[in-house]
Amino acid sequence: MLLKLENVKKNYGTFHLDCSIEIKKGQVTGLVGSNGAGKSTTFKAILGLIFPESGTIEMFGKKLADITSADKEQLGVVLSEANICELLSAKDMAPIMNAMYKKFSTKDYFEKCRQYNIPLDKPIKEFSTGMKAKLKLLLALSHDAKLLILDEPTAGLDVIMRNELLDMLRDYMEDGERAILISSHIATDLEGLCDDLYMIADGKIIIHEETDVLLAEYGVLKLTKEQYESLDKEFIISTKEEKFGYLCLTNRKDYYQENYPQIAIEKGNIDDLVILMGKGGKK
Amino acid sequence: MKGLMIKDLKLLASQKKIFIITIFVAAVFAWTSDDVTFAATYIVLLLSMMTLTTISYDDMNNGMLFLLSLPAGRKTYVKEKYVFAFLNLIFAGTLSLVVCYAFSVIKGTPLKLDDLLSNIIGITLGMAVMLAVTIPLELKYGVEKGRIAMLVAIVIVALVGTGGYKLLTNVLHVDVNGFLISILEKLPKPGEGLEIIVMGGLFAILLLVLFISYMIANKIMKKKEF
Repeated sequence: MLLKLENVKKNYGTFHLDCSIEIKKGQVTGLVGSNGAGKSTTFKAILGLIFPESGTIEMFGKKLADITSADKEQLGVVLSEANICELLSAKDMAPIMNAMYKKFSTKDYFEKCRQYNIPLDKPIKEFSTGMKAKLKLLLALSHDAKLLILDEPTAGLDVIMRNELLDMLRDYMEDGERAILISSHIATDLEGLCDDLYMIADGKIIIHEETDVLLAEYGVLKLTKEQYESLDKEFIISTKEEKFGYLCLTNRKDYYQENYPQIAIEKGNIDDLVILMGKGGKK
Repeated sequence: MKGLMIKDLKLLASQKKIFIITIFVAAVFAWTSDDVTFAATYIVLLLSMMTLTTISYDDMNNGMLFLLSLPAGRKTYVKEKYVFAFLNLIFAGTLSLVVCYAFSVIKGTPLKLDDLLSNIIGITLGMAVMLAVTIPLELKYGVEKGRIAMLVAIVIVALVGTGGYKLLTNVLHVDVNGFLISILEKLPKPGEGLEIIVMGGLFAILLLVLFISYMIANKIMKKKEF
């Protein structure tokens, strides 16, 4: 286990985080949720940037308070809201990283910057959003970390750049000893990358499922009011009222396909989860 | 800490224009005015503020989130800022001494080195105290609010100082001036070691003030949430 959060609680006014997550070696774990669901708060708690009121966080088998700077060298971080000082250039970052990480290689870093078209001498404030995001990820990947913590690393990127970033992450995982915790509000990013997914809403983890299971067994039922009333709701996880009737999320698509062949059932995807399980959805 | 130190030096290097302008303006002051010490004060004042500038740059665009996700933690961050501030003060003092003395020689009116030195030491110590107050405030309240808090602190210190003095002399009829003079009379006379005592005393106070400030800053950072 590279990372384990157990009943981590943090309160901000009316928002209450209560979160348990496990990240295993060799796995990419996704954290999905709408804006304000608690993704960034969870990431900040993992990084020790905020202090949970209760619960435990273990990283590399150690309590968070016992993590040393040597342990932190095993960690690569991208937070969408955190920025590298914009007066510096990509070249300036090399000696800084070199002084902080034993495994940082200036030569490899410069090579990657060239490969991904990151200008070395330009101050970062002149970078485009995509270049900034790529540089942050390159830095997180530059020192052979065991665990990557990525909060919305693809935010603000176009499709081509997103695919480039996702390819970088797939390369990173090839070794089998590493792990990634990633959040994104773009579902397709996560569907193609993650081994398992946590869904968070209003600060609570409401679904934890392997991505394959989720895609194969979850589905959205489109129901008229009459159909909804006569439906066996045993495997319905969440319901949302719409103009035409109801949208229901199920984790047993096959059950409804067999028993209600007249009902329109769509293959479940992460966007549906976010819509149906986030604010507005009800059990 | 080395990484953070390199980062601060790179940040300053990116601001080399400000550095060059500072020296240029100081040179103009030194050239046009009879009193070179003003230029000396100006150099120390502006350069020692650079430590605060690096804190604002760190804070810009949630930069602290990035810095604290690197291996160097909160404690190292605070330690580096104080080491940087200390080295920066020494650099500012030395540079000011060299530039101003060189100018006074070029102008053909060499200053008494002692006078210039005591002037520079005075302003450097003053700036050290200012930094000792401001660094913890900026870490706690952020750069904008921190500066306001510093101004409030200065006003409070001035009010307490003058108020306390007035209270002692006018209401309680304590002879404050006489008391201070009696202390000064007990000290050795100039030339008999006064300079050493004053210098040593000031240096000890500087270290103590910076140390207390460092301890407070550490406590503030330990509790701060980002």
